[in-house]
Order: sequence, then C-alpha cells, then structure tokens
Amino acid sequence: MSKMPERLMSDPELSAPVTDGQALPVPDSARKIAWARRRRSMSGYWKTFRKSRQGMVGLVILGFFVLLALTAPYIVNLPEIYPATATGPILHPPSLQYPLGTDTFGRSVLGMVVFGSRISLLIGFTATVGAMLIGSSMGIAAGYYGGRIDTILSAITNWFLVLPWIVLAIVIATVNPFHLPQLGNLILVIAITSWAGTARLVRAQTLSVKERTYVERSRALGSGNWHLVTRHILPNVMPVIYANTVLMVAIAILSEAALSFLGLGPQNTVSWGVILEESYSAGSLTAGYWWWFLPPGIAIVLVALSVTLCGYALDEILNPRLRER
Amino acid sequence: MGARRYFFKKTAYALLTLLFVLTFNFVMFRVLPSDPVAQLTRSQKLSRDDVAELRHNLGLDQPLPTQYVTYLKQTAALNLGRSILSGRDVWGEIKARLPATIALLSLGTLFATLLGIWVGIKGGWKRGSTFDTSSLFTSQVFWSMSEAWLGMVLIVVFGSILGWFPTGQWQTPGDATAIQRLADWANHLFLPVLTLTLGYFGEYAIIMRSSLIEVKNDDFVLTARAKGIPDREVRKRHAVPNAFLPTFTLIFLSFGFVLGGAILIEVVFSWPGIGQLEYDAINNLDYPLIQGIFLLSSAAVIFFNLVADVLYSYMDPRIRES
Amino acid sequence: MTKTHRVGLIVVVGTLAAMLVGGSALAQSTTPAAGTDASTSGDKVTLTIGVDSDVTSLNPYNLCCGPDYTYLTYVYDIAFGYGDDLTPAPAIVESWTPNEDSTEWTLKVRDDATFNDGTPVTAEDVAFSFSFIVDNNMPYYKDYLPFNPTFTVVDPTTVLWTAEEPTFAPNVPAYIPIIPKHVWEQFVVPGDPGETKKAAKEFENTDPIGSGPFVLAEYRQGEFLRFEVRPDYWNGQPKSVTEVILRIYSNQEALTAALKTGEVDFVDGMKPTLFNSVKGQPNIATHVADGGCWGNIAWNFGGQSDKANPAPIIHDITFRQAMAYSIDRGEIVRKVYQDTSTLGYSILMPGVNGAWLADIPPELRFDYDPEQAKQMLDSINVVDTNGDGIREDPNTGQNLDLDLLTINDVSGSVDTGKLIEGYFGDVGVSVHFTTGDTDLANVVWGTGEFDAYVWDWCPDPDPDFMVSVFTSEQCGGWSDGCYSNPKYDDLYKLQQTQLNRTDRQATIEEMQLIIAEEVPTMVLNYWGDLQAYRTDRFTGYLPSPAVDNGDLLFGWNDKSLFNLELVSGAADTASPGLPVWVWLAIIATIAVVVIVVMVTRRRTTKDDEELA
Repeated sequence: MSKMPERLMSDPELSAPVTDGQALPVPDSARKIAWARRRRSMSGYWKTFRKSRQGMVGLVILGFFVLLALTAPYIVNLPEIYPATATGPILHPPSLQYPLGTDTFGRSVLGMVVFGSRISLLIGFTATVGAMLIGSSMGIAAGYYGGRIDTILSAITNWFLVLPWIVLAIVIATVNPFHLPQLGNLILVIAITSWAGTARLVRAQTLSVKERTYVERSRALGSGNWHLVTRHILPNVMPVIYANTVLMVAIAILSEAALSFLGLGPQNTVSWGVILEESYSAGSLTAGYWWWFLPPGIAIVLVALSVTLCGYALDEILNPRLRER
Repeated sequence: MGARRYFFKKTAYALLTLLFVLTFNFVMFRVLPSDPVAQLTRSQKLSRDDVAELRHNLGLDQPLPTQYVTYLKQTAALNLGRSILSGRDVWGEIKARLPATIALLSLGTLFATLLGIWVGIKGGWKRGSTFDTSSLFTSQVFWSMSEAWLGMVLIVVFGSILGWFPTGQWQTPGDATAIQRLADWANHLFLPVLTLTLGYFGEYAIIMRSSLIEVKNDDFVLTARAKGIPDREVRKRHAVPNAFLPTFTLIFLSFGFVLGGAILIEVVFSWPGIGQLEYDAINNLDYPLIQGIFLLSSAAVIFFNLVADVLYSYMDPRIRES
Repeated sequence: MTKTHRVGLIVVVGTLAAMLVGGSALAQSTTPAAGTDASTSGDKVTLTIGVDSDVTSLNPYNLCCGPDYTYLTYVYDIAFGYGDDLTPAPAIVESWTPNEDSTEWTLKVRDDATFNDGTPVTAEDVAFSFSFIVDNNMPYYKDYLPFNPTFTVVDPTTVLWTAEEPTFAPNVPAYIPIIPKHVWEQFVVPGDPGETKKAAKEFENTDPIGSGPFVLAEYRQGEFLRFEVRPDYWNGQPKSVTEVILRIYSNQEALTAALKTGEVDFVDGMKPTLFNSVKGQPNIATHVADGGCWGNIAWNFGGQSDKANPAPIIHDITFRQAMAYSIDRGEIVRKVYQDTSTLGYSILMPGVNGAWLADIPPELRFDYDPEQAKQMLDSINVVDTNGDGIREDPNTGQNLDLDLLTINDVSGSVDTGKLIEGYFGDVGVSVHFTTGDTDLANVVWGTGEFDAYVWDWCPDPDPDFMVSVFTSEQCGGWSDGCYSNPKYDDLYKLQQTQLNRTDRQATIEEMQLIIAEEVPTMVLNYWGDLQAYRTDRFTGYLPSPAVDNGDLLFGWNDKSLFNLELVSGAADTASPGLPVWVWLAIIATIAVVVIVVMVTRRRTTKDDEELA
C-alpha cells in the first residue's frame, strides 16, 4: 500500500536511451522496421530476464495466481462460498474436506481465497492500467509541451506524489464524486492515488527523447504533434515505465487490502482484503481462528512479492545504471 | 541563485501546493456534492428553516468565488467546522489525538530509517554477497505485506500467544511515577512501532542500496580506490555520504506514506491517534472530520517536503545552483 | 563529505527527537488536572470497564449510543428510577401522584440531593430539566413527555406536571436527566427555541455538573473516562468501588484481548465469536444478558417521500407471509449469532417487557418452510413465466428484485442480510443488496428508497413506544416502512387512555398479534447482550432486572455496581509488558554499545589519518 515503487528506480534522465537509433541494413517499410526492432529488443529483454532467478520465481508465482483467478469459477464449488448455501461446520479448523477451515457461515476459506483472487487481481490490474494511462498522458504532455503546461502539470504531479495517499483515497472513496458503482470507484481511487510516479518518470524520459536528432528531423519534415508523440516519443518512453508498471500492480493489490480493511472495499463479493476485514471484525485474532486470517494475508504477500521480484528483474535489465560494470 | 532566494522560491511553491490542496478540498466537499448541506449534516432531520440557516452559515447561498474566499479565511483561522457525530470542533478533535500519532510515527520512522540505512549500506557495498541477497529478499517480503496483516500477526504472536506486550491503547490509566509511566509507554509502543519499522525499513534499505550501487561506479569512487584508500574508508568518506542524500530526502518525502500505514496500524492496535479518528470518521461518514484530517495531513506533508528541500540544498549546494 | 553525512544524520535524528519531545509535551498539556494525587492510591478500588467506542460527547443532548448512556447515568440522575422488576421506583423524584383524570401529576423532589458543585437539587432544577426538553424540542427525550405538558414549581420540593390529555407518562417512567438550571439557563434564548437548541447542543460540557453517583474526574478522548465516587451522593456509596474507568478500545478484538490479560474487569456487547472464545478461560465468567433488542427484516410500503419506490407486491399480505416462510430463523441464530441469540416472534421482549409480551401462536410464527413459501407465491400469481429462475411481479411483469438494505454497524445486520439474500433466492426472488452505516440507513429510511431492511428495535420497559412505531402516524417518523392499519391505530389510541393495567394489557396483546400476522416487520430473533468479567477481581454482580438473564452491570439501575466487592487478594488491573528494570537494562545496553562503537571508530579514524 503506502509504498513508493517509483522512487525505487533511478532517475531515467540519467539513464542511456534504450531502444532507439539502431542502423538497419535492409531497407524496409518504416512500420516493419519499427516492429522488427521492437521484437528484437523484446526477445533480448526476455533472454536477460530468464537469467534472473528471482525474476523467474516471481513470474512463476504470478502466473500461478493468474491461472487460479481465471479458472476459479470451475474449481471452486460456488455454493460453498455463499453464506446461505454454505453447509460446512461453523468456524471449523482445517480438515480434509476443508483444507483451510471454515468461517462463521461455514464457508470454505480455501474456496474464498481462490475465488477472491479474481477481484483482487482484477482491481490490481485495472487500477494499474488506469494509473499508467493517467501517468503517461500527464508525463508526456508535461514533457512534450514544456513551458507553463509543464509547470502546472508537474506541480499537480508532485502534489499527488507526496500526498498522504490513504487519506486522499478515503476522501474520494467516501465522497464518490462521479457516482460510480462501488467496485469502479475503488479502482478509480487506486488509480488516482498511484499515477504520479509514472508521470514523473515519463516526463523525464520524454524530455530527453524530445531533444534527439531524429525527433528534430521528423519535426523538420513536418510531422504533426500526434505523429511525433505516437511514433517517436511513446515507443521510446514505454520501456522506462514497464518495470514501474509491474511494481504498481503490487501497490494496487496492497491498496485494495488497505481500503477493504478500513471498510471501503468491494461489497457483496469476495476479495482478499474483504476476507481479511471479515475475519478481523469477527475477532479471529483473539478468538484464534488463524486459518481464517492467515491465508488471505499470505496470498497478498505472495502476489505482491512475485510482482516485486519481476519488477526488480526488469529494472536491472532496463536500467543500465544498475548493471554491474 | 542565492540561498535566500532559493528558500523563498521553495516556500512560495509550498504555499502554492497548499492552496491547491485547499482548492481540491473545496471542490470535493462544497462544489461536487449536489447538496453539501445534506452531506455535511447527514441524517439529522432538519426543518426547511434549519437548512436555510445552515446554508447561510456555510455561505452556500453566496456565489462560488465568495464561498471560496470565505472558506480560505475560515481555514486560516483553523475553523474546520464541527464533527457531525460529536458536535465538537474538528481542530480540537484532531489536536487531542496528535500526541499518540506523533509518538508512533516518529519512533517508527526513526527505527525504520536506522535499520533500513544500515541494511542498505551493508548490502549495497558488497553487492551479491549472501547478506545482500538475503537482506534484499527480506526487505522485499516485508515491503509486500499489508501493514494491517503484519500487525495482526504480531498481535497474535506477541499478544495472544506469548502475552508479552499489550495489544491496544498507549497507556494504562491511573497514577504512576515518571519512570513507571515511561516503561508503560514503552510497553504499549513496542508492537505498533515494531510493525511500522518492519513495514517500512525495506523501502529505505532498497533505496539506500540502489543509490550506493550507483555511486559505487562513479568516477570519484573509482579514483579514490585507485589511489589505494582502504575500502572501508572509501565507503565511509566517499560513497555513503553521496548515496545518503536521496535516502535523506526520502525520509521526509515518505512522511505522507508512513502516515497512511500508520492509520492501519492505529486501527489494528487500538491506538488513540489520528488514524483511529479517521477510521471512526469513515464509519460514520463524518465529512467535516474526514475533510479536516485530509487538510491537516496534507499540510504536514507539504511542510516536511519544504524542510527536506531546504536541508537538501544546505547539504548539497549544487542543488541551489541548478 | 563525512561532515555532510553526519550533519544529515544529526538533523534527521534531531527532528524526530524534537517531534517526540513536542509530542509528549503536548500529551502533558492536554492532560486535565487529575482529581486525585498519588498518595491516596492506596485506598482506591478501581473497576475498569472495557468499551469499544468513545463517548459521542459529554453533552446529555448530544448522545447517541454505546457508552454514552453509561456516562449519563454515572454523572446525572434520571428523574425517575427503575426497580428490580423494571417498574418505576423513587429516585430524585420521590413520588408522583395523579389527579382524578390523570392530566395533572404532583411530583415530590427529594431535599437531600446535591449537584457535584455543591448546590442543592431543587424543584426549580427538575422543572427546568423537563421544560427545557419540551420548550426547545430537544431530541431523544421529548417522546417521554407527551401532550404538551407544562411544569410549574409549587414550592422548593414540589413540581406540578400538567398535560393537555390524560396521561400515564410519569409512570413509563420518563427517562429525563436532571440538569442544573444555573448551568444550562445561559443557553436559553427567550422566544427562540431554535437558537436555544443550537446553543445547548454545541455546549461541550467538559466539566459536567450533575447530581449522579459519580463525578467525571478525567477524560481523555479516545483513551478513557475516569469517574470518582461522590462521598455526598444522596443514595449512598458503592460497597467497595471508589473509581470507575471506562477504557476505550477501538475494536472488540483489542477489548477481548484486554479482558484475557486482565487489563479490564468487565466487557459487554461482545461479538458472538469472541464471546465463545473466552468461555471457559481461566478467571473469566461469561453471561448472556437479555440484550433488550430484537433483529428484524422490515418491509417498506412507501409514502415517506416522493422518492419512495418499494415494489407494489409488498402490499400483499400473502407475499409478506410467504417471504417469512422462506427465512430460516434457526440458521440465522446459528450462523450469525453463534447461538447467542434466541428465537423470537413478538415486537415486545421477555426480560424487558415482561408481562406485556403476548404469546404468538405457532401458525403466526411462519417457521421455515420454503415449499409453503413457493406455493403461496404461486397462489398470488408471483411466478416465473420466462424461466430465468426469478419470479415476476404480476403488477409490473418485471423480475422481482428487492432492494435490501443492511447496516454495517448494527450487530449481525449485514450477515443476516447475506443469508436472507440466499433464502429469497431459493424461492425465486432476487435481492439487490446494499450496505451502509446507520447514518446512511437513516437517510434511505427517511426517503423510503428501499424494499426491505435488516435492522433492530430496542423496546423500553413500557410498551407504549414500541407499539407506537407501527401506527400510521409514525410514517416519516419512527415507522419502519409506513405500515398502515386503521384498526391498529385505533387500538394504539385506546391503550394510551387505558389507565387500568389489565385493560391496557389486553389491547397491547391484540396489537402484537396483528403485527405478527400481517408481517409489516418480521421479528427474527431476540439478541443476547454478551457479557464477560474477571472472576478474580470483583464479586457480587446483581442482574437487573432481577432474573437470571438480567444485565450484570448496565441494567436499568446502579444496584449491581453498588454491590460489587473486591475479591480478597485481587491484584490490580495491569497491562502485560516488560517491567521497568528490563527497559532500563535495555537502554543501558544500547548506550554502552553506542559509546563503545563511537570510541573505537574515532580511534580507527585517527589511525587511518595518521597512515594517510
């Protein structure tokens, strides 16, 4: 939750350009060249990534949970996780039939954790995409246009960067200014409170890309803003934010847990944060229902950690300053 | 740019940011809601006269710019309205909860920083060593934990199972000598501060580590080594001081984030601070209180940023030049 | 560089230290002057009660819930008292006698009561306390004073209560705190009740002046309230308790942990899961008191406001009865309340209402029978014609999708709602489920934008208030969902005039049967108030009312608290933690390590410099 992946990265302004300007011997259409170049750099990244043991471990764990989320409706016996239809014994410790025990309704905790992965990952991924979209557009606009626009956008970015995010999240979650459905508002809240790091990174990278000769040349040849941004700036900015984006998934999942814990989580559904909150408010700590509150917490740690491991592995690849010389 | 000008510039910037927060607050609570009166008073069944009077008191019958100015004036006078639930002055409610939060935050930050910096220096300098890989992994594991859940686990282990430490509140009511009182505070502080420390040291460790790794490859470090200065001396005199700067600002910058975590920890540990107050406010949808806490915590964060900027420029004069 | 490094560290540590010192200084400055000093602590007997929320306010006109009423009854006297069987008993008002038609009551005020500032309690104060509520339309209490009464001081110990209609209101008895006129009259703005009410409600009352058995010695928001016994209280002093501390924990979890470690002596309102977890623990006794509340699902008939939008089918009595059949009350008691609540069928409760309670015959209990529910739905043409598994409302042809509101700060409401969602689904009625807190619920309740809700009612010992809730007059007021039945309304008016208890009882019983049969609200269960206490601290808890399942400490009078005695050899309440000397040892060790490291560092640095 209140973590700051963006600052874990070194400043991209200092880092060398990653994917631009490789001379290609075979003349081909511009689009093809671009794709070939991208494919090559991608497969290069993958080769390096595969060498990182931590990155691979992270990827495997993450893959497992994604698979779990996708197949959850088929592997969970749905009546088992609804209050009225759950037939399990009440607050029963783990047994063969209920490997992670049951809650107050006699629901299977394992079933809830498996099914909860859907909402938790959904929130994690969509909020990240949202944050990335906001962050990249703010960053590119600030970096590309510069001047007064830059000053204003940077001020806003810096404000969101240092703000006590959870308090801001609470404000937006309780006021719900756009009258969104509850789950949508939760995703919006997380996106709004976590885009600023991306924006800062993107702005810095845009500033450095903008000055490059081929961009100048393209501009001189009469390219419009849209063309410049989508064809030249964006492709060169994106690699910088990959690692950041991956880390943001962890933040989003932790944010969901934090907000759910404060009672602002998704309603009428199961997510890891919600299970944690339910077990906490039923008093499972003091009453000793460890099988109820340990699993969702461990699931959160595993996913956040796997994402973090992937993120750091990516960072080591994409950020030359961190490479061993 | 001179030091004084730099200071004024930064202060002006901080004030501007504060103004932005105020505007945000104004828009969120006075402009966006279709009926701010209903929102600010919630369920109380009000007569039409009461509503009209409230509208007038809040200045909602004025044009928006006038309302905005009134709002700024009231806020400057620390008139943040009254809590819906208790009817008490919002600033008074917050003030009563400040000491507990400050104690938790400052101790937690202190220990998290000390531990984090130490781990970061030790690991980063010997990159790839067993200590480095294991400490990096540990940092990442703790970083990946939900503070609330970490607190819950610590409560179960140290409170329920071992029974070593109290799991709620920050002092025992009743009379005590000064030294007993201090020990009582220490006992109550132990678990929440431990949670905060474990939850945040990883962040500082990772930052300290990566900045040290970067600095390690810088020319001046390589030169110092080439001159035959002992490794420990290079680390102590050349690398660490330079790598320390970003971590140092981070300590101040992260204030807002640690505050966020502290809210969860306060809830879990029944800690009578701002976080607890915020939690109650959420549950009762006490908008004036939510608004007041948001404003004051933002102001605190902005203040700490300003302090960080000024100190940073003092420590590294190059900043002022750029 | 090294210098910069060190300066940085010093600045960081210095700032944090300053924050810490500043914080503790602030903590000291916010400590109100304590009423006692350490020297008297030897004779102090402190009862520590754990509560899970702070008092809302110290102002008697700004109370809400939780420990507010405990505070109120400790510091203030209630005009009339309750006996062991919850019938009215003499208190500050010693006696009350009606005239022939019960429009005029003569109240005698005791002459030996004083406020905690030393001034005597007189008829002036009593009359002021009553009229302050009526004149300024103060919330919470005004329902106890019906028919526009006036209060006249006849002499220093006599007040005349004159109502426009015959009334038995003093006998209910009226739950009115006695406030000192010399403190509160400053808020009276003549001729402007609105201003008076506003000023009175904004009063923070940080140093409450009341005539109750305790004085508020110390209050720390979010931490605790400390009450000291008044040596000059008119009704004597507790046998052994000299001080009561209400210790606030933000949640039940911490509260229960504190009970286990012995930090608190008594806890009530526990969650079923936690309650069951302390059962059988060493030195802890548990007790299920009659909670005084019942859980219900109430139907909305509409009419509260233009926005009210309940499904029209709700007006069909067969539909409501069918839905009642679909609900498994036994499972709710088992799953939501972990068997700590009991099945109940009437809007009045045993324990609280005693003899007023009617026996609801089995055919009006609608015990769980989903097949019966389905048949009844079929019989009124609520059927699933399009085969999607959901029955359609014959009035609209649309799928029946009921808006069910649950309230997250009402015990068990959300969990009960989740179960009901499933039960309704089983008989083919879909539920749209919303959750909010009580405040939100109040708003929705006021506008009528719901089909049904899961909430609770807590009746007074006198049934008047509880039965009034279902009259048409209460639509937009206390009514659950604007249920209206002229026959019921007539019965309500009738019982208000029945000064003869047997006649009134018959009417009250008839009213209960009507509600049971017509199901405007369905009583789901009677809640138990789950209490637990340390047996190694105090003994002598007296249930109130004086029956087995009476409340052990927060009943309708102070008898239990006054009767408590310290168990011989009882230890003081204490928090767990390391003793002082361990902390001193830790600090000493750290200091030694730091000094040693610094000294050796300095030495090596010097050596290095000499080398270089």
